[in-house]
Amino acid sequence: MTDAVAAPAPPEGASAVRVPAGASRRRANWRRALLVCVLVGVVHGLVWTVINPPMQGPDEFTHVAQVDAMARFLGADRYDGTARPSELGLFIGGVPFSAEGYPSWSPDQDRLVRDQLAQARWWGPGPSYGVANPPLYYLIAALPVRVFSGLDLIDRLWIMRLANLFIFAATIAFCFLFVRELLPRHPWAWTVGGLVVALHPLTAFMAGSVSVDNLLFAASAALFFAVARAFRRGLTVRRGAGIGLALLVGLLTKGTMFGFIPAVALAVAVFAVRAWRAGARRHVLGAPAAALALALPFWVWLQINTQVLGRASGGTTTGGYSVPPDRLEYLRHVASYTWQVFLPPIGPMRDQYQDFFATNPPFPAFPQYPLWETWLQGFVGRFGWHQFEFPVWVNVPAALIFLALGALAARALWRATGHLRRRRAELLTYVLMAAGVFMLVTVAGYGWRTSRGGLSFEQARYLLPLIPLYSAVVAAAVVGLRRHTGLALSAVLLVLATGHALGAFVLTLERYYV
Amino acid sequence: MTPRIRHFAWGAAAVIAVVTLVVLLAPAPRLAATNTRVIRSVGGVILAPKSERCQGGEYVPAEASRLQVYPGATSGTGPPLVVTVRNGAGRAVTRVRVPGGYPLSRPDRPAPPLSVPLPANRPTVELARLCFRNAGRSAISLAGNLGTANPATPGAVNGPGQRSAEEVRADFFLSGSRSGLSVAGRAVERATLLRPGFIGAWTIWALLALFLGACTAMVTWFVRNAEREA
Repeated sequence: MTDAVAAPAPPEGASAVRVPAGASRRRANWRRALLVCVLVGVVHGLVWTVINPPMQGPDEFTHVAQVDAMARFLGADRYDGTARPSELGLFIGGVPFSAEGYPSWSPDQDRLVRDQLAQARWWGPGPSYGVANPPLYYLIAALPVRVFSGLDLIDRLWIMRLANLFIFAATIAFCFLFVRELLPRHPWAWTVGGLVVALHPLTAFMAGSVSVDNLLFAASAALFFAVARAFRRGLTVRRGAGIGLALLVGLLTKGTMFGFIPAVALAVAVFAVRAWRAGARRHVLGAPAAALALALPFWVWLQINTQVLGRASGGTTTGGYSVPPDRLEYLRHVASYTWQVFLPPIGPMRDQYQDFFATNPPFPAFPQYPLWETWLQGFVGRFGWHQFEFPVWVNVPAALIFLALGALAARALWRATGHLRRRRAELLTYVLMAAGVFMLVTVAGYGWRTSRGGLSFEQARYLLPLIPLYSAVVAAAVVGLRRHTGLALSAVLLVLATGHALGAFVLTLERYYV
Repeated sequence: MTPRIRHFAWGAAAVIAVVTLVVLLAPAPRLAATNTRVIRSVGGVILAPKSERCQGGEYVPAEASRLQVYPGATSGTGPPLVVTVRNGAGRAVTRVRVPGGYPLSRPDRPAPPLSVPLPANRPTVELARLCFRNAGRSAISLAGNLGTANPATPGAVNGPGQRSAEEVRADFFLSGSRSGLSVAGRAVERATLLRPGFIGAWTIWALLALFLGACTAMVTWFVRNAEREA
């Protein structure tokens, strides 16, 4: 089947696909499938909210402090002048927190911490370094915390984690809908695309931790869906506004979203030119709608950020990094570094990974092979503060499965080349979106390493804004096969994904509690 | 005849079940409690000759059969040690004398840790004071619980009742080697601590069962639809 991946593109400017007979039954079917994906994901995330020890999500206590600070701000709570220990400080000391250690296993210490928290209730250290991030995630997470502000920090932390599950549900739903736009003729593949995200341990682990990344993933998934929808059905004002809104949500959450802007701007320009040439003038308005939906509210936020809150705009717009005066030299280093974040150095490149931790012999330099250690092992599952992962006997077969799926997806694309010719711009957009995020992560990583003496920066979670592409690759891999084979492989993949998720639970319980 | 899709799903489920069982049945030494905040300690706590050092906030469960510490020095063998566990009232609950002559780790030659057998039929002591007395004539260092050999990880803290400075790292082990399955109940019990009050072991087991049930239902539903599609 040569048209496995490609769907016939509708005429530019067409606003809807033809509605065939029995459409309502099919609509009910895909909605049920979407619900199944979301429910499985929410249950998966729910388990993570409980088994992951407090503060063991990446940077979790900084985000918790920031959510609490936002909740106090919403309630206009003011410091009453009473000297009290910080609730968060007591909790961190009581767990006790460490990236490598164990939380307490003593029931008496649990009671002691609770008693101490009762004395310090609702008194925090104020904004944390999470304040560098834009405020949208903290605002959303602070709303339920405000409602339950009478609870102690242990309970409030769980409330924050629970709130993430709604965001995780949105991520899964948008991934499902993205695959639906890409492969409209293969409804079963939408389910596979949604479920591989719902069952992906690292994504669910993040959903079970308090982190801005969760809203970033949802915004990215929404953006992929909005772009795919515009490619398939034409850019209307509403769809343009949808693209702008998805970008806006992401930009008000974390700077990683800037990585998408060049590709999306290019795509929107292509939409506008195509619509203009096709004489669909109404659709040209989609482009300014996208720009307006993004730029106007974001400009308002920048004004509030600098004029009202008195904060530097760099926290929102550059992550605090700046380009040194010798730009050519800087670009040469960044290009070399970006290459080596994935592959070994070649030619005149200076080895960027040679000296890290060389002065601390008990621990080998990490990562020595970033493609394997950071990205593949990380994507299979590295948890805590980027601290523990599956053993090699899991990572190797898992990586082979991922690589095989990638090869199958590439094969499916290759076989559908004829049909995909009309969708070149769309494919190029996704490639550029991925490249933009990769570049942003490596530029930030280079800045981090040069300013912190070589400490490792990159983590697989930084690529989770691209999780819709993962669901698309898996879906493309299975629809590229003969129908029976593709369905059988899908069933096997879903069972393996379930085993993978269960394995991550066992790994985590063993890491902290055995 | 083309195999039905459900056969592939069952096959994959059987492989997962076998692998899970093999992993969970593998025996290994298991911790009963520990105060360590790091995987690999650097530095340590110096114990001068004829001196005693005590540290609070320790959890010494009755089921622990031995205490493991990590002594080191620049030369010689280990001096005699006296290890005492005191309860909240200051009463000595357990006292063990360790004869001298055990090997010590040196920078160029690591030695196995010192295993101190604990008497049976002890009560669990929570928030205990754990004391180490050097009864010998040479100083030793005992590995600490805060300083990490990994510079990439953030700093660690001791819990309430403990000092904020380095403590002697104390790893308490269950007797013998145990399978993961045999300690699963303990692990889940431990995972209920520092969680919202209503969360007990039953909650975690119920959530795990819910997840497994949801996934089983999902796969069954998918396979049924897939067989219809195929």
